[in-house]
Amino acid sequence: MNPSDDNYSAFHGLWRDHPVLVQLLGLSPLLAVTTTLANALGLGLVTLTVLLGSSVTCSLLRRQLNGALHLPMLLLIIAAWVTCAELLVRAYAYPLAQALGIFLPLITSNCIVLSRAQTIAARHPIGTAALDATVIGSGFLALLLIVGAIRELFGRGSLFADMHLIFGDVARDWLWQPFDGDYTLLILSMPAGAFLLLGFLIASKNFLDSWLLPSSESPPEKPITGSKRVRTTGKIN
Amino acid sequence: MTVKTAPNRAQWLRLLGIALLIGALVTTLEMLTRERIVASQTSAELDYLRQVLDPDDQGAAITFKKWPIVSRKLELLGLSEGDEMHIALRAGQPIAAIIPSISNAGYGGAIKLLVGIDFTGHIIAVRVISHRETAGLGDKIELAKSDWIEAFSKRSLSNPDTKYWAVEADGGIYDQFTGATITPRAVVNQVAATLQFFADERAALAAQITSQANPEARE
Ligand SMILES: Cc1cc2nc3c(=O)[nH]c(=O)nc-3n(C[C@H](O)[C@H](O)[C@H](O)COP(=O)(O)O)c2cc1C
Repeated sequence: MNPSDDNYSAFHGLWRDHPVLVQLLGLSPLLAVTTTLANALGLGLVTLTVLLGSSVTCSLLRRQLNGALHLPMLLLIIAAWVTCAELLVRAYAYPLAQALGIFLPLITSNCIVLSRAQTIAARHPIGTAALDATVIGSGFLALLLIVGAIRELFGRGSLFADMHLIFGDVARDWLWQPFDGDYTLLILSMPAGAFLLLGFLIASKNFLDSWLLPSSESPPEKPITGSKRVRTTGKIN
Repeated sequence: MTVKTAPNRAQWLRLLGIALLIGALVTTLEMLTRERIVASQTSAELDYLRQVLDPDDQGAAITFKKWPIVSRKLELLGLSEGDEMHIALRAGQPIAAIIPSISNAGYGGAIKLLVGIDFTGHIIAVRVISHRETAGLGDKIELAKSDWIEAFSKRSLSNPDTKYWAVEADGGIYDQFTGATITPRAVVNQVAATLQFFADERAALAAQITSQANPEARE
């Protein structure tokens, strides 16, 4: 988790230390909002922006952000970025703000944002912080898109519904409805189905890991330094 | 990493400084975006009302007026004191009433409807605003899931006759869904109640609106 460790690479956020698949952070927006690809894309982009903005800000102010009050300061900065993002979405994509509802302001409490601000941004120069935020945010966005696409396709029988919420009127005829709503797996459109799907995705990642890197061939893993809680799934040393 | 010592004065001042700076920035952005947000809100509200009007009546020529619902029959609509409807006007003449109506007879809870009725007492369109019916069973009342809700268009209290204003299972003309009769029954009965409400209020309403539009006409 620390760039000075041999273990850290900014790109681990995409797979090895994925914020959701490994750290199990940011679950509530993931389960609640991903009923369609459009909602997933909207929430993922706003989260990426907030993550990048707050990481850069925390890195710039890192000399002030220490001591007993560093947590309230980080939260203030994150909440400010979320408020700005919410104002802009409401001004320029009002229907998207309506579709995301409470999960737009709730990005403030997304632990992915806070954990990156605390462990990386508040301790490292701006380049490291920005790269880390971009990678982590993209990993989160990619997973939202995968979950959103699967849930929309098999839960509603469509893809690209409501894309006009993000891309405007040109996107109104992007809707692709390969099968009728009567032939869908309803559970996928509910949070319980999203939870099961996430479980399958985590299991698939662990399977791929063990298949690509059979433990006999892989070099003995170094214990990961720092808090053990950063890894919640997979191999925990 | 966890700092156990109590924060000192300098740290509190730093927190205050950051809070003030951020407050100023966010307030500035709020002022810059306020006008646009209000405009987006208004346009979303107009879209909300227009969904129960004729597709031909969508231009700027149609204006909307908030109208208090003062009636002893408020509970017929499932509404409470202070709830409002909208009157759609073309060149000052009322063309439709847009009435919110809530059924409490749904399977999963309240079903909130928006009913557009023209001043001859015919339904223009009905839309479900929110509901908690079971996905796959009761949710075909949404236009996104099925065109069932379009069956109300052009209907009135005399078409069909009041006694046929019911789902087929109750001897009426409206389809129920396979394995789900409760939801469509709740919607059909609520739409009928809304029509009844409007029929009782229409004459008084039309008179009030025209007299308000041209105050001299009353003398
Ligand atoms: C879990 C569950 C959910 C149901 N959800 C609905 C619903 O949303 N709307 C509805 O009308 N009926 C629903 N039903 C069915 C009703 O209980 C009732 O059986 C049905 O409306 C009667 O329709 P029928 O006369 O066509 O069988 C549900 C039943 C179960 C077991």
